[in-house]
Amino acid sequence: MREVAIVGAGMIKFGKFPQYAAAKMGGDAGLMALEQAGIKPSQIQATFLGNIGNPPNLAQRVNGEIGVTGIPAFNHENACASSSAAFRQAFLSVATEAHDYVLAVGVENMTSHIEMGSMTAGPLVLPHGANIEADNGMLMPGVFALLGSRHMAEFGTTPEQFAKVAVKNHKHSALNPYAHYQKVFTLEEVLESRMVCDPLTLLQCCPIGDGAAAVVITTAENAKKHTTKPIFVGASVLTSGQYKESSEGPARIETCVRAANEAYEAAGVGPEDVDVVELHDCFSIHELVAYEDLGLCPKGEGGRFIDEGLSGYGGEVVVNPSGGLLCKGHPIGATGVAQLVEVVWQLQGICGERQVPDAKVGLTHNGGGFGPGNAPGAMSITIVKA
Amino acid sequence: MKIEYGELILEPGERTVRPDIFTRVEGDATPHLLARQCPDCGDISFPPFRYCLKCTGGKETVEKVLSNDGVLKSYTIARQVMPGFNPDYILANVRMKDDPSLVLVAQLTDVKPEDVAIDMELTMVPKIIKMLMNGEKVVSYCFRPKDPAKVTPGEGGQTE
Repeated sequence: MREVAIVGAGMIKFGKFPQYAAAKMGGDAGLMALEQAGIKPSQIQATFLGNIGNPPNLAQRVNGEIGVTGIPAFNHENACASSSAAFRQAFLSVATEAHDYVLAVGVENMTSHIEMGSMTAGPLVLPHGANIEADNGMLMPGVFALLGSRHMAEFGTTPEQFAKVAVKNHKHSALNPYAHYQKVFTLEEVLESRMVCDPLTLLQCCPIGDGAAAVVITTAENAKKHTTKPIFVGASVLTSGQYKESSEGPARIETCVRAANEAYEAAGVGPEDVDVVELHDCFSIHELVAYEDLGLCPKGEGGRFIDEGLSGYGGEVVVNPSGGLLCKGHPIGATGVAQLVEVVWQLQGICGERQVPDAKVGLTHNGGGFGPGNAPGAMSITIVKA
Repeated sequence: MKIEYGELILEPGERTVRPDIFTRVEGDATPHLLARQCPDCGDISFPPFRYCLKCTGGKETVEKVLSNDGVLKSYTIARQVMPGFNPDYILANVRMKDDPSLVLVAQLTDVKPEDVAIDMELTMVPKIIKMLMNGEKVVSYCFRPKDPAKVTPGEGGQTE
């Protein structure tokens, strides 16, 4: 396998843009990534795109927006990890010598569905019969509320500790011009916002929104021609949940533990080496539990980790400098690549006010949906190095 | 929905959440959940899977009637819900007695939130949990406390 690098990263500001076509959003992010890489669209040999709810053949339509045609184009659906799946396939295509220059794109326009008269933001609400757990009333905040309820019972974690994750990420988002929301909230405001699924209040749940992000990938050798700051891909792991793998033992997502261990081994680093993490904080509870699952702190100590400010600036590792899914936003198919764009920019040292000092190793954590027996559908861990 | 001799009898306009998951046990007035079990490793799956996902040995699983009993692993109150559900139902993870690795996602019924506690013993009871866009009512497996002192009929938003 060849060593692979990211030489360009682009992202549009996230928000609610019902009139902004998904193809145009992806094209704009792609053009930004190409511009940063300093390469022409005609050099791109294949496009890999993640999306769940917009019209088919979106990768081809994004190519149309950036001025490319007639190349292989691949569309990936893996729920919230759709563009992590696209990135992994793009990474593999370069690593295995199928291509030398490829584009990985994540796109989602959720609000256009509402504009068109749908009650919900696209295919997120499953039709009856698709999944028995959803038919029984399981919903996304409910999944993480159930995990949080168990974590509280086992480790004495408190609703305040979960809420502190949202306070931190909102604080981070205030410095990120790409974030959907850039508002600071107090702990009291987070706790007193409307209850969605106990103990999750509204400000601990990610918003519905639109966005796109893209990266240009090539070999480590080619990368030197395009930038003085290539970002090397140390590991790109994507796996699916094993049946019942988290059903016994402590409150955790075992698929994450497994994927993270595989990624650390492949990248030759440990959790203690990671400077910056973009973590799948769809709901505050997920971030606190993932501190433990990623090995950033021991099992059961996620509450202490947030209490002591160890996941913020000045702590042990900066988690979600972008504001995360909670505040930067979570346009489903855009998220995986958008997380990568943030860590790439952090490692390039171009993040301005939200720059993590001296960031050398970055990690993204992106989960996606459910498989049989309610096991995680997809879990992606990517490690990049300056 | 009526239950006679442990058998679900659906009224017009009602359907089960899945047609092959309820069965009757002679002498029991409540229907039982019908799972499947691996002949090799003994793992029990519900909702049922044709092949064992635990040992992945490739042998076809066989029918296994569940005892209906479980304990509460975790719970939340769903205040904001999907179309067709009544808000404020208690969503739960229930660990089944027949196989402790088997954890179901289901609603609690006939219990006030203040009477719910993790590790409490539960038993299955079928209830109508939602209405589809076409007006059909969906019958699914819910769980109520085993301890009669914790049971408050009608609590939870489900109907008979």
